[in-house]
Amino acid sequence: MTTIDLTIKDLTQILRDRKSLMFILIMPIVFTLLFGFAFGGYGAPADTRLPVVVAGDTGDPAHAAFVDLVESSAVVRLVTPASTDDQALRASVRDGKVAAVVLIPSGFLRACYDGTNPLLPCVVDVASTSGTMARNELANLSARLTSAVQAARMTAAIFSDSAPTTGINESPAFTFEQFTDVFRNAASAWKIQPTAVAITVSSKLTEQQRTAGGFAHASPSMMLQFSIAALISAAGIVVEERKSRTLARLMTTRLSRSGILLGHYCAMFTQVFAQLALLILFAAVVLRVQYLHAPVATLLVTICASAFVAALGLLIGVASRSEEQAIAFSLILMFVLAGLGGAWVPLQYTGAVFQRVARATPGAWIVDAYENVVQRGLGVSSVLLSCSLLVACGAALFLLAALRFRRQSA
Amino acid sequence: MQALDIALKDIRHSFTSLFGLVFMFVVPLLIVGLMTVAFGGTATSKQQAFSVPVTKVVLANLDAGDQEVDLDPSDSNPSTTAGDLLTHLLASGEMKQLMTITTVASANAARDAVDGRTAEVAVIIPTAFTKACMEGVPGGAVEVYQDPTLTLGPGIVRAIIGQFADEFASVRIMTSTATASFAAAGITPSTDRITRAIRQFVSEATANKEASGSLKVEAPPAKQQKSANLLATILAVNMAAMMIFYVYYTGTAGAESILLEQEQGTLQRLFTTKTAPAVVMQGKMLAIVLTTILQMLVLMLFSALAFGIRWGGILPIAIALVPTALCASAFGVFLISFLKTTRQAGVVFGGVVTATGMLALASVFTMSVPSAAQLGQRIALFVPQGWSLLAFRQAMDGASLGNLLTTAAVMLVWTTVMFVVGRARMARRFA
Repeated sequence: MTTIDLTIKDLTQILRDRKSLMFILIMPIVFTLLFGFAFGGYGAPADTRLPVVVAGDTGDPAHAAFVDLVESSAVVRLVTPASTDDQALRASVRDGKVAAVVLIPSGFLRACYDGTNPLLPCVVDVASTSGTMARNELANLSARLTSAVQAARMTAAIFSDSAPTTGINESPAFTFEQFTDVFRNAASAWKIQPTAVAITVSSKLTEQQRTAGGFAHASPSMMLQFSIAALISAAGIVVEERKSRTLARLMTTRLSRSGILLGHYCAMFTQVFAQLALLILFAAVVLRVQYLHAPVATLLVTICASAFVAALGLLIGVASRSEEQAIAFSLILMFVLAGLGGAWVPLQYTGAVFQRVARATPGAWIVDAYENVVQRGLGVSSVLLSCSLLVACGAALFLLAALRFRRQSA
Repeated sequence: MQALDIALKDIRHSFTSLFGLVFMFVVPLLIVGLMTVAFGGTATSKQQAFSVPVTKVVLANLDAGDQEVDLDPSDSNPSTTAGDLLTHLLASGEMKQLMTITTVASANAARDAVDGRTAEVAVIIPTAFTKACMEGVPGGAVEVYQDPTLTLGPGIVRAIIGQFADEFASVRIMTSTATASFAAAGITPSTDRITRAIRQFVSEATANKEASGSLKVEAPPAKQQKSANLLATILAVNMAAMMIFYVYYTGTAGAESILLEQEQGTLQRLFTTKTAPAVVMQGKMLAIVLTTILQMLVLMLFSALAFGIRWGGILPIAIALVPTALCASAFGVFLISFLKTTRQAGVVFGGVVTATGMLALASVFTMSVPSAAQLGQRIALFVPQGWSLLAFRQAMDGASLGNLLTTAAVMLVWTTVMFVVGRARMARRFA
């Protein structure tokens, strides 16, 4: 028996276990679709602006002005509530149906005319990310509303100073109607302001190539997660071999210890590589993720990621005392490496310390290297560092597995 | 009595297995510990704010200014431009927690820094920026050139620049609106008077600058008693999610003992005694329910002490906890009823329980991504774990008893269906 025979035997065993197909192909595809759609699906999502309601005194000119301001926002969008009842509106924020409700108090503009500075009640859950985002944008919009009030006040003040006096030596009053007119003009002037900020993207890919949207992150993330999860079967074979004393019998053949270890490693490498290749093909053809934009870079990352994951699998197989342990180790490592790699929550949404730690882990290197190709449109040179680190880590894990295996089979 | 004996034997077995203990208690707490580090501290720590990572910004100020305007007469520079003011704002001490600024001489150098990944965002202030700010002419937009994988950091930078531009626009709008009103009224105030009024407005606006502007922020009804702290919410939801995820593992692992006993032959021996198969099933079910209840109580107590998580009132938590224990147990019996050997159970552990658990966790994974949050919540309700998580979130949020009882009722429906199917399949097998 040679190393290649052992590899072929392992692969046959994995293929015969049809349930392992669930980890290798079905689950990663399902979860890529799930997370891809959740994070935006194809291209630009239809409308990701946060829904908000503007309620309260609909007859107040400030209501119409604020509605206009919300309609021009790139962060929030106006929705019509099912009920205008105060409690129902507040409950809609609690239940996550809308991100915030702004209530225009009765007589808001009249109070401004009278010289007070009434606040705008805003029901929002600031303990949520969407609530915080909505609060910030509504605060900006309310600042625009306040500036319209200030414009009206300033006009009133100058009017009082500059208008010709009446017969009894008094300035004519600046009426509420005049105040409202100036307020309306100032509020509507915000609609015709030129764009202050233009967004451009650093990707080397054309806009047409960047249509994969949420899948461009979900695909590499789920490939990372399920390549580790799929180690359950392969690592289980190594455990089973030891428990059933097949290993002891193998040791009596001409096959050396390193040959046995290499045989299992090659099987795992082939399994992971084939899995990643199939998933890349699926993502490239069906989901239009740009893996084939730089095929050599994609191939290089796939080879290095497979080398690392296979070494991890070998260590799990060698270190586990039972199949149950192999499953537990695979799942725990899957959770830790996928979580740190930003597979579930993109790293940009995590804290600074976590990002620093996460970026030093192999999971993050794999996701980042693939994202260099599929999102940033970069080539081979951009993945070289990640690939070197993955190979180095894989070698270290292989060495650990070899040391442990030597002790076991001694 | 016999059912209780069987239950006690199974519970003893569960709590003496190192593997079981690790999965029941260590792993969920470990992952929440990881999350605690991820989001910058514990809910009880003094520094309660969510630690937003600092965005690396490279800035190219190409603003040529306007020879007639010195935007800051208080400094020695006779021609301070809007670009200078924006640069000063972005590099100021207030912004240090949000971004680090490096300045470069050209737009290309700024873009190259993002392309080369030494910066995450490039801010390019155009030549006509001051003119655009002062006169509102088009073509003076600040370019924010960003890494395509990022949204949060560039979003913050964009918002700050937008606010800055809004301040100029406010003054412009005030001036033009007031001037038009005076013209309509046939009044010609002195330029000095208008300038004084605008200065007063600017100084008032600067003095009253707060994060909420003129908004009076109010919490939604059920969340008023809870800490309005983003970090505490993230940790609490993650802890609940991990607890649910591993409770369903425990449910399945507990039910696996039926297969194990069958393989070891002890189940067949049990059936030769006077103990009816139904009593054996009752005992097994009771063991799983008690184990999962104990697991949840320990995790809740520990996380409350270690991470400062507030789980809510005793009654709401009991309404969430008991149906979850029943549902997890029925889930285990249901899954195991489809299997013949413990070897197959491994795939069930790794596959079905993980997959359904992750579907439930979709509501947590997408929590930080506003555009995805609603879809995540809907997807989670396709699996029983999603309903358990919803019940715990409702209990923690102080939702109405009616809502909580509805969720509990749905869980009991899941429990009944899964238990009836599982029991029927088991009964046929052991008939």
